[in-house]
Amino acid sequence: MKILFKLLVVLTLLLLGYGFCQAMYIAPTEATMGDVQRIFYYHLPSAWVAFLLFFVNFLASVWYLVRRTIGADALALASAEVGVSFCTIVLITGPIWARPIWGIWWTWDARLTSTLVLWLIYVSYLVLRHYATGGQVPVLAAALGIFGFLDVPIVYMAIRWFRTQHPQPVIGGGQGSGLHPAMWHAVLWNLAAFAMLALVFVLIRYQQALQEYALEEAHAQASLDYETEGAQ
Amino acid sequence: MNPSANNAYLYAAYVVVWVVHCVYAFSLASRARRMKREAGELAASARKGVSGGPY
Repeated sequence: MKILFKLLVVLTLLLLGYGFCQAMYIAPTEATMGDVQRIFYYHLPSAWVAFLLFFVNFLASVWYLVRRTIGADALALASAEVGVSFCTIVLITGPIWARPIWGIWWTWDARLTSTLVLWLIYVSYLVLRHYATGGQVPVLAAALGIFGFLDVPIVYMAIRWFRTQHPQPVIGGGQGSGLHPAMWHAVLWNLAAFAMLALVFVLIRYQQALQEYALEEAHAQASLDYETEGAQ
Repeated sequence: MNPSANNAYLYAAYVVVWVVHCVYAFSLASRARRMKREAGELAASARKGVSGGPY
């Protein structure tokens, strides 16, 4: 199992390296924006991977509420945590790209605002998991994860439903939209690389969450043994 | 890729991506070290017997 995981890590690093080459050197320079458009190859895959991770969190949260298994709760926590890190990248690279193109770092349009709200929802999920105590925390977190996920389709559709500063969809945007095939390659290679990186992070965090449960149980058992011994 | 004034933004975005990922990877590594230490302490206390107090 460890060998498989090491292979996964090596494959991820290779993909990240190849994705970098695709984004920086192989993909053609965009005619209007120039080289700064290459931020797209990190911005878009990070957003898609974050959406995917929040979807995993949604499924795991539903599964936890139905079955109450530790594994589902651990997966929900791991996917939310890694999803937040990817969503953070989206929220930082977006303004860095916007500044030279729009002339502003930020604007409160529907896409940007709903993405910020999404990030805040999952940060609050992690704060709840980290600071709240008591047996009901996983249940409350699962409820927050399920309702929080409702913002993902809103973020995705925001540029279709509203007039926004954020560009209209380039991919799946109907007639006249689309990417140069070489740009598509760069997007897909980086998407694969970031998805693999997310998988590595989620697997590690999932294992750690299970170990945290085991440690908590061991601590509780030790305290119980101590109290029993004191009573005798 | 051609050198231009806008490249500073591209490099900044690239650095941000890897800083965020490295910070997260570091947090995973430090959590793993902490849990390993806690598990070691718990095992050592268990070997001594429960009279050492709550852990």
